[in-house]
Amino acid sequence: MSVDVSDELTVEVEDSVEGAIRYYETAYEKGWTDGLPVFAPTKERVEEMLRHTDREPDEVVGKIPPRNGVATVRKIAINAVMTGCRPEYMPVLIAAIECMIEPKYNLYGRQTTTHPGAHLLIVHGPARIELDVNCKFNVLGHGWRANATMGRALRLIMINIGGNKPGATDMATHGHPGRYSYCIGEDEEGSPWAPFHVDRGFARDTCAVTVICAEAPHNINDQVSKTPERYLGSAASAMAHLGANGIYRGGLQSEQILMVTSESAHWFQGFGWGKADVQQYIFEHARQPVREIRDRGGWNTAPLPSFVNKDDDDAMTAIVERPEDILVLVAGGHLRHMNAILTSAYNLSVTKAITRKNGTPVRSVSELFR
Amino acid sequence: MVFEQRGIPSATFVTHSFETYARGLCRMQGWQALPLIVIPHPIAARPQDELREKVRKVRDQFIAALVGQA
Repeated sequence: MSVDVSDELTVEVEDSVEGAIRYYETAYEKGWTDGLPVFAPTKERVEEMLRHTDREPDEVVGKIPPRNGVATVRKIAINAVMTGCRPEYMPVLIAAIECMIEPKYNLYGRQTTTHPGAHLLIVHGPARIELDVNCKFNVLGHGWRANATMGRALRLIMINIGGNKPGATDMATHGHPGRYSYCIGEDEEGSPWAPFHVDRGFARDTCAVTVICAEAPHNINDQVSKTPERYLGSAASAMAHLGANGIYRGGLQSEQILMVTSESAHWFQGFGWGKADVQQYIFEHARQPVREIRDRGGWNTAPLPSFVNKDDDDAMTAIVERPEDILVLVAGGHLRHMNAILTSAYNLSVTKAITRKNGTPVRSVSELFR
Repeated sequence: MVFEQRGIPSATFVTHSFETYARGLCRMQGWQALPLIVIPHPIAARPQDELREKVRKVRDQFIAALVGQA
């Protein structure tokens, strides 16, 4: 049996359990993996994957830096098979790569930086339900095949098509565990607010994805505060600490994420607070005085927000330029917790609908099966 | 690479910890000939005198890169 990892690279693998194990050994030796076991992308498995998109196998989705390797539909499918994706995940992966190659995503920079960022894939709309994407308990953790393998497939695409190699092309000093896989769904059913993709202009019943390059999640545990102001004060402190990138780069067009659970979101709603109120509060309070950030961290490497006088030690600088740059996501188990998911500030999230090849958004990924 | 693509002479500084990385990226992008000026690592949070000395030692390479004689 022959298996492909790219157009040029084919290896013979014995059709047996031992052969499958040996394929993992071969793939690891050749640098085709993230270190974890991979499945052999046999022609049959890849063909099955390709039936779940209406795109042609040789269609170019984009070039992946720094190698500028050509991500065709087939090569995306090959990497998806290797990580254990189900075939119906294909449309999510194609849309995710379309997001990541947008210039504002700055993929070249994200692939080569010393910053630890990982590509956080967020699935929106009906696709979450169809594909069983976890949106609730342990949403950033283990246990769901869709979350585990789709996020991982993006990493393998970065490695095998983009030429990502730690210490060689990828200078992330630490990285973080999300570089193995980083994929969630928004808890749209549990949220009292409009889903994230609806805020961005998509219909609620449209399948869509967002990708953003983000640091590891940082839990914000406040079981005691009795008012939204005090509760979000805990979040604001976690998002504007002196080691955070954003506090030094608020003048770049950038974004920072606050993830809240459905319980927290409903609790805010009980005080009459909508999502915009949460964004506004974090924007106004995730701040530091200029005197604290002067001559440390990322001082003078990027602009502060336009409303901050950097010569004034008492001026309070913010982590973003505008309230809407605080991205509020509802996800996680229905209990009271929040999570700060911060970025380098050198990347912007991109949201795209999952579409037919003619550009029509789909309401079910099954529409693309052929 | 972006400057060179636009016809603007450039001189790219890297510390030796980034040399392999920089040469690899140049190769991947088709810019093997891009002149790199390698200075000893580290440069972050080092005294001004030390940084001046590191730069002084590569001054001629810097000029050569900009006038196309690297």
